[in-house]
Amino acid sequence: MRRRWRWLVLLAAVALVTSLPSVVGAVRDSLGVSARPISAAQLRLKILQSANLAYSGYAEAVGGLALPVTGNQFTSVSDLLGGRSQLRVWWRARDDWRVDQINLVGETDVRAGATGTWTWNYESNLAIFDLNPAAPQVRLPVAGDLLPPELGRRLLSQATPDELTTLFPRRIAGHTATGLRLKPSDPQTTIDSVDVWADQSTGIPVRVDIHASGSANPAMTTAFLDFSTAKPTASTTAFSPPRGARTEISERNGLTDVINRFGDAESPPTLNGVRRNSLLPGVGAIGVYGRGVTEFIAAPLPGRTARSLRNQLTNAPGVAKSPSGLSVSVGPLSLLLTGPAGQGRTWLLIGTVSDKALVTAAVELARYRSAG
Amino acid sequence: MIGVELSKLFRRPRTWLTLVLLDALPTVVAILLATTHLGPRPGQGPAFLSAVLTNGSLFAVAALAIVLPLFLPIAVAVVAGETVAGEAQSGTLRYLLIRPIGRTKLLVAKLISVFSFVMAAVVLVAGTGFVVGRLLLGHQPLSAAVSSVSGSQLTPAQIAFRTLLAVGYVGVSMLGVAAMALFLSTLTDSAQSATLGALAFLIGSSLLLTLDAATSLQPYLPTRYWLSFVDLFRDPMLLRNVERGIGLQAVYVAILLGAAWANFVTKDIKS
Repeated sequence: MRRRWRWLVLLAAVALVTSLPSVVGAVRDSLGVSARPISAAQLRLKILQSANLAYSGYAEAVGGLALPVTGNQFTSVSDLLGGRSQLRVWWRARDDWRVDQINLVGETDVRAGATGTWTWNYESNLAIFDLNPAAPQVRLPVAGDLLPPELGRRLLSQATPDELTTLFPRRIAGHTATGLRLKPSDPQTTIDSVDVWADQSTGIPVRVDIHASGSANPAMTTAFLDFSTAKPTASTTAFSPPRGARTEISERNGLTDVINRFGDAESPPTLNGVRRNSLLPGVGAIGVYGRGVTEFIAAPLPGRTARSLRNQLTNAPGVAKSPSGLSVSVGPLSLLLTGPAGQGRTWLLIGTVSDKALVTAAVELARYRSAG
Repeated sequence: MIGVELSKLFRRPRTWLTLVLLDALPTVVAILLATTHLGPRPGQGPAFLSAVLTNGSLFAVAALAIVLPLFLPIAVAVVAGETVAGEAQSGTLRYLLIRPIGRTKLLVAKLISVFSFVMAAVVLVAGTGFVVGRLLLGHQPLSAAVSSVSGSQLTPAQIAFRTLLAVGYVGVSMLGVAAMALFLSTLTDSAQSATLGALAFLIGSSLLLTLDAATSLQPYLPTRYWLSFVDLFRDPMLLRNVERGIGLQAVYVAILLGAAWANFVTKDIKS
């Protein structure tokens, strides 16, 4: 008995210590949560109008959308969409912000100012200045796109009232957040729903969950773990390269620029009965089709890029070969590289629509280029 | 009692041999860096190892990053695993307990001697790293500003303050290993078994950290926040993971020491 009471005391202490965080969390989350009457359309408007409000915080984005492609600029995109990204943000205004993507041994920071954008990479000891801060309308995703405010507003930008419903508020990062659920009405979509949770007082999105059709777990979640609506100080977002760092001026030769310059084709006005997105008209060779969360992109690839991508997809697991080309689906993302090799122009089709929709689009593209 | 345990620990040649070996690895790395000027590629190698090529003062924290994943926990596990089991193995535990002191007091004395070793090891590694870094690497003056991980300039005073915080944090991070080895040391009469048990605990934790399937477990793994001392060199400092790391170690230490106490005070001593 003398032996036993000590172990019982220890077990009780272990039970207390291990249950304390969840008990405290549950109590804290239940306090201060009350629903304010607001319609889905009003909440969407409030979220979209929060774009100019200041905030700061620490967010984590977890994605399960790693496409089996690497090399060039694909590796960073694959890591971004398929892994865990840790992000710190200080947002003062549209042209004055800072986003740090941190890792165990370093970080990559992007700091936007009135004259341009600095990108700082600690491990490379490299600072790159971009004189032209205006981002192209179609580009590969970057870490800042995964911040809940940016992603939430982007996903809700073209939602219609009949696609939206409100959700009961919950506590996120110490703030009461009101939820908005978007269920896309397009029958070709691979997105089941998108839940955007916005800070109740400001409308700034603090959490976004993207659910693919037929999957219980979110395909992507991004959420603030620390969040503040206080305006960050100007010194936090300011940047000048440290002494001894290498500095470069960006030449802005991203993949989309290469495709626009060397793609040697123009995307048609409609594909698979879907018109090019009216909000993204000026993207040259690359066509963006659809609306809101149900979109796909058609891009004519230059020969070298097409060969590299085809070689990777040929050897990647889960890639299906068909007369239309090579196709793969990861969560709600579908990708089709038209083919086979050596037969005319290669198109890359990728988006949140079904494989079938991309195959139909590929057939139309083949006809379009024959007619052209 | 505490004085006796401390003097016993630091009079042992093997304690000093362990500390010397612990310092040897970062010193060899510094010599190699100084002679080849080849830093690790971006995203590879321990933290701060590229930065020390321009400023040797940072080698104090780089040295901690070099020994933290493996060598430091091994040294701590060896010393802590020996505390009680080593006495039992050599047949001195029975005589030790004949003295008019309680077992709890003896355990506390052992505990303090192990924690003293942990802090001595961490301070020595950082101190040696600083001296070796200043002598061999990046000959900037001591008064020169140093780039933070975020690219801003930190004054020498800021760097010194953050290095002290990092030393303290790494020391705290090792307390969980020490507590585990001490607990196992009360369970067995073999010091090697206690050491290996503690190391198995750490290897298991490190393995689970690499598995996506173990994501829900990861915030509770003892090695989860070890490298978060790097966050002290960001600007502004990111304290979120550092706070969690300290809290997690405190929980492990409290539970494992509680288990060590519950077992040791009623244990039948046969050797």
